[in-house]
Amino acid sequence: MKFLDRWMARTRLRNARTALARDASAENFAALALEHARIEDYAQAERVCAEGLASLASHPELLRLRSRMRALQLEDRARSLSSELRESPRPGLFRELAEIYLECGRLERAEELAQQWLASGGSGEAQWIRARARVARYFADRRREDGREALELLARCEQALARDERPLRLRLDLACRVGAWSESRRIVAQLLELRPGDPALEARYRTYTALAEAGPTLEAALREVERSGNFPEESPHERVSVGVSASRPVRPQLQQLAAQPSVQVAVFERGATALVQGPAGATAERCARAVREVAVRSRAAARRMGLGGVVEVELEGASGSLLVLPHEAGVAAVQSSAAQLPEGLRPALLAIAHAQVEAAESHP
Amino acid sequence: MKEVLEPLIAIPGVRMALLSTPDGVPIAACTRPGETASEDAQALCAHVTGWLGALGPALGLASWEFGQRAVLRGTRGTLVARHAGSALLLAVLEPGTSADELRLPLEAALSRLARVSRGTRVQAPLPSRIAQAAPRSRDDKAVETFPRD
Repeated sequence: MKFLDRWMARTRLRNARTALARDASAENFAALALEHARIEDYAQAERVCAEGLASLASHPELLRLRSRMRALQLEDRARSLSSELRESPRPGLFRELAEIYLECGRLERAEELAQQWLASGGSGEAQWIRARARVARYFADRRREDGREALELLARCEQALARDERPLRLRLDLACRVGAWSESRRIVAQLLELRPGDPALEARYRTYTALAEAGPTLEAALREVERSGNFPEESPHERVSVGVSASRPVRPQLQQLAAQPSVQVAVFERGATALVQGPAGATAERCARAVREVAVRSRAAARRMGLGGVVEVELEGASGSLLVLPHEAGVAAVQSSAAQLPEGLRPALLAIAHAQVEAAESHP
Repeated sequence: MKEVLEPLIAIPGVRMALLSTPDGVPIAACTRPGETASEDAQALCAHVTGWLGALGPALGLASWEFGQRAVLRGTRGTLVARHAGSALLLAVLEPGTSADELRLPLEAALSRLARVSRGTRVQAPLPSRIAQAAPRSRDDKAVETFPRD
């Protein structure tokens, strides 16, 4: 860094610190963290975010900044590990780098590295990293092919790491998530051989025995998850039966959203029911169908692109801007005539979606 | 075309930057230095154009037109697609990176792209018949005007 840059950075840091001492607001914490980030002192930036979060618990911007700073630190470490690996490949370096990739969610890269490790003589641990990456990929994308591949890698891992519980526990997690209870019972039996008399495992064995009668096979469960895009525990059918009481607060919130300047349409959909504010009659119906289609198409596309589950879709064009939030409790969307989505709309729409999730959870 | 994408990949949180034709054929792809393109650029371009193509009729139901910029945020990353005339500029971001932070750099990349394509057009060889009719350079013209003895 040049002398002038360093000098200016020091002045900016001092100003940010003074502003924070005067007013300990989230904005000032974020400003100081960003100043540290600008001089690539990510560890200090993370500490500032943590300090801010201690007094302003769960502030979204500080939370986002903290995770970003953590990611940047990991990225730095990953870069230095990569260059070190090129010079002298060692199991310790492979393991640390793979763990970083897994933590950052760079699953394809983690798998590639595990394959590289295997090629250079790695054994059980390399298989374990590869299996974990594939399972994480399956949990995010829910493709049957990934599920099958994950199970195959776990089987190889079990052979390589004999008497190690970790692959069995991960296989159990996968089987439980997809609702394959007979397979879960079989895995718990294997775990009981390793840990005889474990009360938690015995209780699970009894539970899965009771569920196994009606449960699907593993292959059928994988197929069903791929078809619906949901694991049984987050099935939308359960949410639809929540009832009218849970959906009651949506209408006033949507009306409030639609009353904001530039907002033309506000939609909330759950199952076959849609609430539309703004247009009326056939136009409202067409808007609701358009939003539903966007959510469905985007869900499928995100899985194919390896982006995992869809969090939001934002579109801009001649008709202004459109924000669609496909959530567990339904799909919330807002269309604005502004070229870029106005600032307050995203939090307002998120609040609607979160209120619905909370309502659904309080009416099981 | 790499010079259009390289500044994008230098931004923290950008995993991959691509330039594609509107029908999904990749023109150029850039990943972070020291890394190989782990994601298949060809498949990604095809999926993105497939997605954008599927959104068209869906949005047409409400007579909406949102063809300029599209952001698809997932749990494992974010995709930003920006129409650039006869090309599509794509960026894949790490989870937690805001797509809004990339708004200005993408616009700058579009300007670079326009500059590069203008430059290419100027430097492109002329069709043979026009090339024969036109003087090749200032020196050639000088020779014709003032022939040596």
